[in-house]
Amino acid sequence: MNADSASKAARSRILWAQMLILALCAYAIAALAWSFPYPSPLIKPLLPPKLRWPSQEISAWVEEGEFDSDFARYFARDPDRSVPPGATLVSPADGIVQDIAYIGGTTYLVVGLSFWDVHVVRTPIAGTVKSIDMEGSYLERLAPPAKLQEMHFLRGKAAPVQAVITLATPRGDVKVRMITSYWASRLKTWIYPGQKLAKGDRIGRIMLGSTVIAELPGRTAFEVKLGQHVSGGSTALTMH
Amino acid sequence: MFWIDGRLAWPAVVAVLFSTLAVLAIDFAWRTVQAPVWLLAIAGAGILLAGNTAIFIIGARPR
Repeated sequence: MNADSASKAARSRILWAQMLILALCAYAIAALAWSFPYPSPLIKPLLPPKLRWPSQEISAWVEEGEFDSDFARYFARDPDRSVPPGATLVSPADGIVQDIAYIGGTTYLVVGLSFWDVHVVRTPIAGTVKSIDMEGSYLERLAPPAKLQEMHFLRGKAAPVQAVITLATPRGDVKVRMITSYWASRLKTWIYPGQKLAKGDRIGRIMLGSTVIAELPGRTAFEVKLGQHVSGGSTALTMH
Repeated sequence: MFWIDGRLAWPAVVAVLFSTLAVLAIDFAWRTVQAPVWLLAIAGAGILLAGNTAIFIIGARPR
């Protein structure tokens, strides 16, 4: 009698264990089907960021205005950077060098940020903040100023929201132009006019993937090439 | 075959577990490996078929 009830209890325990395994399997398959075509939460931690949060999924979050909390944490990261010493200019942001142009006495270095890049913008050179101007502002963002429409690297951005930070530096006035798109339309700057900044210092944040442009007076020869991935505050742009 | 004396047959449970893990692995491979989808589908079907067959053959052996 005792042996029989003991074996019954053992069978019951085994059955419960089996049901638990089957329930976990059902959960795994349901999670995969629910998330498809995006990655299941079970394999997400194993994937690199670009595959973990595909651009289509992030675009959908932007449309809805709701973001996955893990992505939001990843996006808000602000790692320290080792700023190269000397007189070299450094990249103002993380991203791909999309254009290097010399127009009207100014050299423009255009860095395109993707959703997965660090979005903290840094000073390319030490200097004093002269001004912080908002253009294509939150209220007037239906059309960019005519001057900006002429700039070929802004083509396709129908209504960019911009913050232009002008730094007085030994090289002359250097501008850092932070651009975000119409639907993101959120920029933050952490500096004030008159503030002295070292090279590579943090100056602000763009809330979603967009563009940062360093505008340097005169003709500047860059060491970086088009299509190269650069890191804000740490990739040297010039030899001197 | 799947119900033995008040519990499930272990080969059936192991087969479900194996198939689930295989599907997750195939999904992971599809996202990370730069291989054509048809190749991954054939490889995935092969893994599922061979694995489940092996589990049932081993599970059905007399002890």
